Amino acid sequence: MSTTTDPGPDTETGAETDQATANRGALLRWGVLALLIAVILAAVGYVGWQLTRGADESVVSQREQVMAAADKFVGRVNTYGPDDVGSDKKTMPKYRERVGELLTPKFEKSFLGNVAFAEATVVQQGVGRTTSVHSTGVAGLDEDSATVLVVAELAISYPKSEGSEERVEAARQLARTEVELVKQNGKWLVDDWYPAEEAPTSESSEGVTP
Amino acid sequence: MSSTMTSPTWYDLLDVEPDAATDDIRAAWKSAIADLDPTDRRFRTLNDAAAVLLDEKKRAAYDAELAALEEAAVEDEDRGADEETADTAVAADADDDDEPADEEPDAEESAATGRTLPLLPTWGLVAAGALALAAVVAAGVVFFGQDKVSTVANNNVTTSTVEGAVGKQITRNHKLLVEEQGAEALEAAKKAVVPLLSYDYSKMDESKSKAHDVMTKDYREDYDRLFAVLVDNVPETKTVVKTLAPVDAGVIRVAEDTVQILVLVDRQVTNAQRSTPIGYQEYAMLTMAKVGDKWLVDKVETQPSQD
Repeated sequence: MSTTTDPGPDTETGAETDQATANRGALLRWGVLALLIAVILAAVGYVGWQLTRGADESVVSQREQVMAAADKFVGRVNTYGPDDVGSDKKTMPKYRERVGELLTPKFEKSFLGNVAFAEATVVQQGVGRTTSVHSTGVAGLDEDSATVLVVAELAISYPKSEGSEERVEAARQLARTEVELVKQNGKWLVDDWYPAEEAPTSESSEGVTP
Repeated sequence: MSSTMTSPTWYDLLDVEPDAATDDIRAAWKSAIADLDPTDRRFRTLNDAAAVLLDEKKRAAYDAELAALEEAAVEDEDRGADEETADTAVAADADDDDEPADEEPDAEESAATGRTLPLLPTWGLVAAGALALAAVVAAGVVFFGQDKVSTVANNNVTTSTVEGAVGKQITRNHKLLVEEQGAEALEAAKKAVVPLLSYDYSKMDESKSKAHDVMTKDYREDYDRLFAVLVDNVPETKTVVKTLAPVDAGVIRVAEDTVQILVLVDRQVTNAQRSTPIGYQEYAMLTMAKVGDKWLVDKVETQPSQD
């Protein structure tokens, strides 16, 4: 029924008043409905945003991400040996690559400038290192930077004799490392690291050549 | 019929009964318009009434609508909200087909009486209100169910026990974004680790008592078992273990009532053979549990002792 007439048996003014009242009543209802729909959309939007955000940007998720990145770094930077020496017999290209991909461009430069020492111990003395991470905790965190504590046990080995394939474990030591990370393009990358028992230096090269 | 409505019906307008015969309606209509000028608004309105009531189909539809409105009006009266029901009491479809007779009103005149917004049914508003309420409740649950997160200072100052740097100050100051309970447990763990991992052979009861103060009753059983072994041995070894303030500490994981904290600690040890302290750089993973309003040590995992 789309047409509503108000006969207004008495006067024309009365008919118009009734029609205006009807319009106001209907308009009020539509207004209330619009308001309720706005509330529903806002509430559903908020819930959706929170649930989606919770999956990736929550503090729990960020903490897990920085711990995983720091664990991976400490594991990789402290794990190398003769098998990593390349065809040039001087460098460890695979080691450089697997560590380098975890670093910021700035810190990668520093790392590559210092890695020669580790390569020399491997090439000349056959040194090998393996790493077992014991524990990781987040000491500092904000939207795009973090400091992660990583405790790892390092096992250092040498060939039993020159040219020998058999290896001897020379030492096991606990390494308490502070790893500084920054978030670049959505990815947590290592920007510095240093032993926990030492004051950080201004130069980011403290532990580059383990 | 119109008693429960605030506006008259077409029947009221023509002054006929709702069950009046078509001829009676026609007669009433003619009589009503006889003295009116065609430009008079009442003339047009009376024609509208006749257009509906003299058409069998339209009249039947109109009667049905009146019946429905009557019922709705009764319900609304019960709720004290009857004014809007009357607004549509005389609504009629005055489309321009099926005129009652050649002498009967012009449909264009009917349409010219004006249009109103369709009235939103009450049940529609009630349903939308219920949905809105449910959505707001869901949003509230999500909002209040979240952990409160804030950035806190995680500052640590201690002195080094590393050979060659003994006594050198180590400072680690961080800003840590963490859940409220994580921040509380972190600070509690940093304080707890000192009495927890210290003892003095000459004051074993005091050492034990201080450690008890920072741990849960459950963990005391494990601690006492280990401490009993120390008590047996220290008269001979004369061991004193001094745990310094943490070098640094971090959060491993946070749950509602338990938080796991990694604490890096240095310990200085003297014994019957060594009067000069030997420094050890160690770590402990403390599981903190909230008991009342305090965070207490509920479990400790450390590296194997180097003593």
